[in-house]
Amino acid sequence: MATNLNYHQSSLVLSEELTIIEKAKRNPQFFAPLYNKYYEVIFRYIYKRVDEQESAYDITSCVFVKAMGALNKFEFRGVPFSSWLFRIAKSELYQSFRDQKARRTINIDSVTIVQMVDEICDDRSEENREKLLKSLTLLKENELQLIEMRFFEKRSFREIGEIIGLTENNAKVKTFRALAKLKKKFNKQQYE
Amino acid sequence: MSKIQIIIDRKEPSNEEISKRKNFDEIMRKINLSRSLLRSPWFYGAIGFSGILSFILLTF
Repeated sequence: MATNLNYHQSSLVLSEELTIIEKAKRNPQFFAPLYNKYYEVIFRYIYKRVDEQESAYDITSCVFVKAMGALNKFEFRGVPFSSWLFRIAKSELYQSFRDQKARRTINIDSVTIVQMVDEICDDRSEENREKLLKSLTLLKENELQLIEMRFFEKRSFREIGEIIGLTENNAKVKTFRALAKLKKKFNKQQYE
Repeated sequence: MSKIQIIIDRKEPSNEEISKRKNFDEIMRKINLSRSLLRSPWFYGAIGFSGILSFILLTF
């Protein structure tokens, strides 16, 4: 499975980011390079989870306002700064769903649907594709999140772990549990 | 209305489209606005006043 190459960064890049963060803590204007670097990845992460493009832009803007406002609380843990931004993005997304400013959406492409059906059974029929989509909506939010990040967005377990605050191994275990749950929901529909 | 909506094969905005929406100045404006609000004596005055008012209402 392909991994997100933009996410994994050398220690040199990480230390450059840290220098920018330290400067930005004293003067927010120095945050601009990080804003420019991560705007698109954060936007795309949000866009995939909301129904309207404008909502995605609004939430992205809120993420950066929150991040800059809380920058003094940021502690470097040897992982890309983006994992901290993703965590803020996740919390802003849920806030938008609670406030009904955006609707929880699963964005999936036809190829991924077929790949997911293949993970679950041997029959790629239209009926099974429909069942898969229905099963996805029956998952709990944390399970759906893992499925989205691993199978739709092709993120590595390390990245998933860093985004949701788990070890790489734990992220792997939880993702496979979520997949097992998806299969269970899918199979349950076969007999309904 | 179903809780979760599914969209298949939605068109992704291009890199250029997304770049056009970047606006660091706007983010800075919001940051400065919230900072100036926190530094404003009116802000703490309003909090203090509402605290005293709540205390009086709850006590009497």
